[in-house]
This record gives sequence, structure tokens and C-alpha cells, in this order.
Amino acid sequence: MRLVVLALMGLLAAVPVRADGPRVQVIANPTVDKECGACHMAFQPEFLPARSWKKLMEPKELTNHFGEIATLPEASRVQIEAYLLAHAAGVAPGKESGRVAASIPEGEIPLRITETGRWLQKHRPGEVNPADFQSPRVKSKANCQACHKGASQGLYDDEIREGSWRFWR
Amino acid sequence: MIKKVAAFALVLTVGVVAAALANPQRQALLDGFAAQAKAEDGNFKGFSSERGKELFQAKHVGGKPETPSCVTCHTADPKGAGQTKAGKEIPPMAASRTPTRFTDPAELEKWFHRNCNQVLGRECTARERGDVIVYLSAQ
Repeated sequence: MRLVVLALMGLLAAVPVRADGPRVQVIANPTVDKECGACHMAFQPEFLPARSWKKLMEPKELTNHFGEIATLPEASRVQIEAYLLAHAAGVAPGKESGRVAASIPEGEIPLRITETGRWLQKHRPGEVNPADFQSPRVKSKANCQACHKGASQGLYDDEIREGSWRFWR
Repeated sequence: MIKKVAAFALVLTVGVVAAALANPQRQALLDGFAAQAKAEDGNFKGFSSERGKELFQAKHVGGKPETPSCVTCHTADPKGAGQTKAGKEIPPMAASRTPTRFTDPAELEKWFHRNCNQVLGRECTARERGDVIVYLSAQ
């Protein structure tokens, strides 16, 4: 009996980290990566639909990018916009792209990834404690890498939760 | 004794030459700003690290309220890393820590345009740009 219990404990200890999160295309364009990653992680384009990226990349919008001036030289702006549109939700191949697109009502143009149905569903209060986003370690919902260590590689299938038992991280 | 002095002199010379050669791009940029500053103001006599430090460290009122100063994001010590509003680390402004600082004209134009408007509510003049570069290059 003791052996059975021990064996079960061994099995449980060997259970790998949940690997059920989305995987998205990495940003392949160095200009996009550099310019969009200057002040925050360069969010992968398939987290928003093309109409959202189009709006965000308007010169007028860039002069007030969530309170910051993010003006770009026109040549860079055009290049980045084209890339974002070509890899947006619903356009990029893969499951996540479709899920994000389907989660946003037609006609709605969310400017924040954290306002899309998909993000809200994945980070709903039952899943993530809303207070975690204000913790000193995380600071903001825009800080994906605080919990998703592989975020810049397009991997969102591993999360570090506040108070996680994985203390060695 | 002579050998030691000679060795020291050699190291010193190499150091000075290396420093001078290390930043031809930065020097070229400064020369460009100097020419512009002279065109803007005939009385321009040269850049000042003191003026640059003052501009960089001061609290300004013309820009956005959350960023009253350059040090709001870049922090008061140029040798330290700064932080963006989104929490991303900004490499130190001090050229001694980040040697690529102030060497790329396109990058300079982009960031001066954005950040002077953000903090001061206007473009920085050529003199102000040169002053800040001279101040931060010496850190």
C-alpha cells in the first residue's frame, strides 16, 4: 500500500507544467521588432485584428499612443503597418489568430489587446486574480513576460502565477 | 624607471587616441548641431555640459504631466538603467555604459522629437541637443 502511495506521489511529481496555452507567430521583421519593442514588449500582430492595427498606426494616433508620443518616420510607419496588417488576427495562419478574430464583435476596433474577448476570457477573474496585475513584480497588464516567460518567442503556454509554487523562478 | 614612464606615456597616448577615435560619429553629429546652433544664434559659443545637465534634470511644465522631466523615465543617474511607463528597461544614457548613444542621426532625430515634445511640449533647439549630448557623453 505504501508503495502504491509512493508511486502515485512520484507520478504526480513528474506531471509537467500545463502546456495548453496559445503559440503565435514570432515577429520576423527587425524594424517592427525594434520600433514596437522600444518601450514595451513587441506584441505579436495576431493578437489584434487588422482594423485595430490600422487605427493604432495612423500618424495622428501615434502622436498619442496611450499617452506617449510614438511618432515614426513615414517610411518605417508604412513598413510596420503593412507587416501588422499582413499578420493580424484572422489573417495570420494558426488557431490563435482565428480565436482572437472570432472573439471581437464585427465593427468593434479594440486598441488594447487586453480588451479583446480572447484576452479577457483567458485572464478572467476565475483564472487570474485581477490584483496580480498591480503587484510589484508584474506592474501592468502590458507586461506579458512577467508571467509568460516565453512571450517574446510567441509562447504563452507557461505561466508564473503570483504566489506560484515554482519558487525557483 | 624610464621604462615605467615610457610605458605609462604609451598607455596614456593610446587611451587619448582611442577616446578621440572612438566616437567619430558622435563628433560629426555634434559638429552638425554646432553649425545649426550657430545659424540659429550668432552668439553661440559652444555647447555646455552644465546647461545640458540642467535641461536633463529639471522639471518642465510645457509637456505631458506624467513626464515632467527627462529623468522621469531615464532616472537621475545617467549611469543607471531607466524604465518606460510600460515597465521596460531603458539602457543607461551615459555613453560610458551604452557606447552606441548619440551615434545614429536617425535615432537621435526620432527620440529628440518624441521626448522633447513629451517633456517640454516643443522641439529641442540644436543648442539644447548638443548640450545634452555633451553632458551625457561625459558620464
